[in-house]
Amino acid sequence: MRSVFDLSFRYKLPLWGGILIILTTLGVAGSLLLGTYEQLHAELMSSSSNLSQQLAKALFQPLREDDVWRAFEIINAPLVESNTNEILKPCAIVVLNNELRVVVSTRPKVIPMQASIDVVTPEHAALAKGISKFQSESVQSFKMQDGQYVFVVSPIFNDRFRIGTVIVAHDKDMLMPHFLHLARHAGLVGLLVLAILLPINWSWGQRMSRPLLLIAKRMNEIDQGSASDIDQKVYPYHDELGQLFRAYRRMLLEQEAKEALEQQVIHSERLAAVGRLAAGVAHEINNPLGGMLTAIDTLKSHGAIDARTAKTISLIERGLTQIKETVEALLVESRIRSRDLEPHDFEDIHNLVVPQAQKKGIAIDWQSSIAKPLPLQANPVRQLMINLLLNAINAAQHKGLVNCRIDANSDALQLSIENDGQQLTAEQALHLFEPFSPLSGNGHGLGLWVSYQIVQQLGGRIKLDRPGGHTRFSIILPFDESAPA
Amino acid sequence: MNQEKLLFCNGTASRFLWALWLIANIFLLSSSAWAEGEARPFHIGLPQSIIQTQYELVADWQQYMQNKLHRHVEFVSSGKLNGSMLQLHLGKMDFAWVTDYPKLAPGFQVRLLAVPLYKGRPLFASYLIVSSNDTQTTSLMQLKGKVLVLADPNSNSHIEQRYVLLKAGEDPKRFFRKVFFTPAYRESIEAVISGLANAAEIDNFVWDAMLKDHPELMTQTRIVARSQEFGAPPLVANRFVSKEEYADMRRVLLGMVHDPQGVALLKRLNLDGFIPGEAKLYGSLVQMKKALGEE
Repeated sequence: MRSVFDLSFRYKLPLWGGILIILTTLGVAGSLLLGTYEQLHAELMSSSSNLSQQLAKALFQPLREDDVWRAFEIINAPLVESNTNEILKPCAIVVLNNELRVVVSTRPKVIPMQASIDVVTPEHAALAKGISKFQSESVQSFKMQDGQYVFVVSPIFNDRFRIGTVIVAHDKDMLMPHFLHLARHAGLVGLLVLAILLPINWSWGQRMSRPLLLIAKRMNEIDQGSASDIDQKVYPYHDELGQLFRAYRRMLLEQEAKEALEQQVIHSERLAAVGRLAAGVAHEINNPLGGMLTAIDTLKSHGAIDARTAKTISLIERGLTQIKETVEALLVESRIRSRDLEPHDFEDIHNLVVPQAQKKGIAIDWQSSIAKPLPLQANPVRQLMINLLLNAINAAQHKGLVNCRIDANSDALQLSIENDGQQLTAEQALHLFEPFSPLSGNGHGLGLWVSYQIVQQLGGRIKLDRPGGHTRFSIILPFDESAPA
Repeated sequence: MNQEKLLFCNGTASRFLWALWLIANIFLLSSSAWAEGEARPFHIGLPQSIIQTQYELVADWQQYMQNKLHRHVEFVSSGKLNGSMLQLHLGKMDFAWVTDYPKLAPGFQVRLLAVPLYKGRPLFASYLIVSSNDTQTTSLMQLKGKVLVLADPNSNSHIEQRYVLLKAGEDPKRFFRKVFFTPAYRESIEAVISGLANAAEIDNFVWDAMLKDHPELMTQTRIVARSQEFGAPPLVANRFVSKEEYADMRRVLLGMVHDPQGVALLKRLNLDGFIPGEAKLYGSLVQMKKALGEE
């Protein structure tokens, strides 16, 4: 049984619907049949009781005169009349005298004249007992258990003088053929109804279950990590199922957002960890490095050094200087408060990068709406912008275009630096802000990493996107609240 | 019986009177309405089996008789239980076709008027029949305790049967479990076919007619025994009928055979005609009635 409940809705809905339809059809047909049968039976009993009363009235005189033939004609008439409904026709009529002997019957071969009614069949014997008990002047019906007949009994009397009894017998099974005929008819109509309703039910079930199945399939796909969106046209209604569809879509979007966020967090954490590592290493290196460079300075100014040693010291000094430069690049220090950013800073930056651009024949589209000082540290922002602009110039095509937009609203500076250079792959974009980037054609590959670190330290956000085949960095730097505007 | 003998002795006188009546009648025809108004209507009794079943025949015969007798004629039933002889005795009929003639009791004085001819003879016989499904019964004696149906309670048709039973030492009144009656022979036959009765007593001319008209009924019955031949049920005149009236009536009956209309009626009655008849025709019936103690 459980397996039935485990069935797919595709089968369960039409199955339950079908069972309901069949039960309803059976119930309706059955109750109608039963009603008709009861009605038929009541009609039979009423017609039979009328008949027996009429016969009793007509039989009084012939019985009084012992006119057997007349009595026979009277009781035989209802059996041969052709205009009577065949079902309502009795199967036998018997007239008894007061001693319960047969005066005349319509089946003289079976129920002969003068015979005592008890000896005909056990059923008739039981009837005889019933009749002898029953002395009223009304019609009464008898139905013996396991009997073959239904008897309707009426006394023959006139002015309280009882002369005998008339028994109208009906075959108990007489109604059965008619009932079977009705049942066959009802069955055919029922089948017709089923033939119409069951396919409708099936198609309705399929229709109802299709969106359910779809949503169940998609839910499974979510578990397997390959969810896809559902077209809203599949189920555009606003019932519970429609709500389910909308909830699914919402869940899908949330899932995607969550995943993106997780990715971003992982990425940020990695960058932060790398930053901490780099800064730690840089510090550890920086301290002995300062000592070493001071020592070399001292050695150069005080000692008499032969040419060979001088050459070696010079070599070491250049090496150490290179290490120092690298370490300084890694150590992004913006915590030291300098002055606020002013409009001429942007002009400076523009002037600084233009020569680089001109070398490659690149046009710089510069749009700045800044007209007053902003509560941001000037140096880091300058470094950030120069880094990004030089990067953009580097990446731009020969005789290409670099776009720079500078805007500010009430609480943040918005920068947008865009070039028409080669597109970055997704893999490249993922490791874009890491130090020693392999993307850097010349330089040590710390440019974007440093830019990223500056943005982080200023509490801002940097984002890469690719509108219309271009590469664009968008930066938002919130104003420093503690600083005087 | 004396009267009947007298009747035959006075044949000449009656013819004379009849001639007188005829003359008077011709004279009176000129004012027929008056004449018909004067003549006494005849009440003629017929066996119930004819009068209650063959209405058209009775009406036609009545018209025929009126035309011939020039007086009003009324056919009346001889009564179901009492028999026509009693009706005659009570003076309710002038003439009657009786099935229980002769009555032996002293009061029943009638004159034999005419005897019907069947197959040229004034005789009839009676058949004992059973259903053709009943293959066992071969004689009357096997019907003890069975049901018998008769068409006419007073008829002579079953007198021989009672006589045979008496001879065999049985009580004819108790031999059968039940004896009942039908208005006509056809219904007796139907009662046997339906099983209501085990046997029926049917007059031979009825049997022959039924065999011709309803062969499908007759195949369902068979004859077990045939009685000897007796004098056919005659027409009789009441004791108060005048000689003229008697002669007139006899003339019409006997003359039917010479008249196309009369012949047609006789054919429908299954008869060949009427003859004056003789009392000795009924000798064997008288003997049996005496033996049975029936009057």
